[in-house]
Amino acid sequence: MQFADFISQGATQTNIEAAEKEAVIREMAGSLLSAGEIAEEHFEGIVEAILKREELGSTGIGRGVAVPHTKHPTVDKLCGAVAVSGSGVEFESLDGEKVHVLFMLVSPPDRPGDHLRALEYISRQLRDDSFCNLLKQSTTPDDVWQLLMDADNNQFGG
Amino acid sequence: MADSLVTQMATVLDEIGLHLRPARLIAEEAEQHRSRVELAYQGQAVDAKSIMQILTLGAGPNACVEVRAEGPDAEQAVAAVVGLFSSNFEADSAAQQQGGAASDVGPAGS
Repeated sequence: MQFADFISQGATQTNIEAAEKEAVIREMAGSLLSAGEIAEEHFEGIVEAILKREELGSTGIGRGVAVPHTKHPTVDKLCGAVAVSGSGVEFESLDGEKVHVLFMLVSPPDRPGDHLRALEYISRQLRDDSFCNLLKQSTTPDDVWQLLMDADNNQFGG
Repeated sequence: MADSLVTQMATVLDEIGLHLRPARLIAEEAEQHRSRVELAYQGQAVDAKSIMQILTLGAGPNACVEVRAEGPDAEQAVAAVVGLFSSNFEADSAAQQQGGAASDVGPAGS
């Protein structure tokens, strides 16, 4: 499992305007819609599911990273979006810090292993300080994608 | 007298594995103890107070994980974390049943 396997190149954003959790989640889901990964008729349902998941406990995992996610029956494979927020988003993370990098995951309910492997891969890569910091400093979607591909090619310690 | 290392094995009962929600519960519990708390799995040892580090284990269903603690309240820390595993993160499943219908089609958890 690598970023190229589940992150949609068309769903990487660096110009996140929203500063609040729900708005950021909507913006990221919008990028999945624009990238053709989710259907318009399911957009609201997916956003609602992701928000409900957040109510059960923040998906902020520390170091300025959050992984908002849900299972949804309308997707037949794991799909993901990445967003970078320069100003940060309050996400009620355990460490109290705002998040600057978000990975959104929407997965089919019958393939929980893919979701777990994606979480593992994201976490392993983000443990590398240089990768994490470079991602936070990205200014264009192309920069983000190139960093993800560099990580897939073992350019960082993850 | 030096603090002794306390260890105990625990099994991942969750059918998805050690995903984000149980990882968070473990980290929250471990954080309440002064001792250093670790999880070890397949040759890796991680800080149990870090959600991100726990997730790097990629421990799947039925994985046997070693819970370790060293410090003034090591026994309590290990007992508490092992208790979470044993109850299959009961707080997790209880909260799931209350509010997670839209986000949980099929197996519980995420």
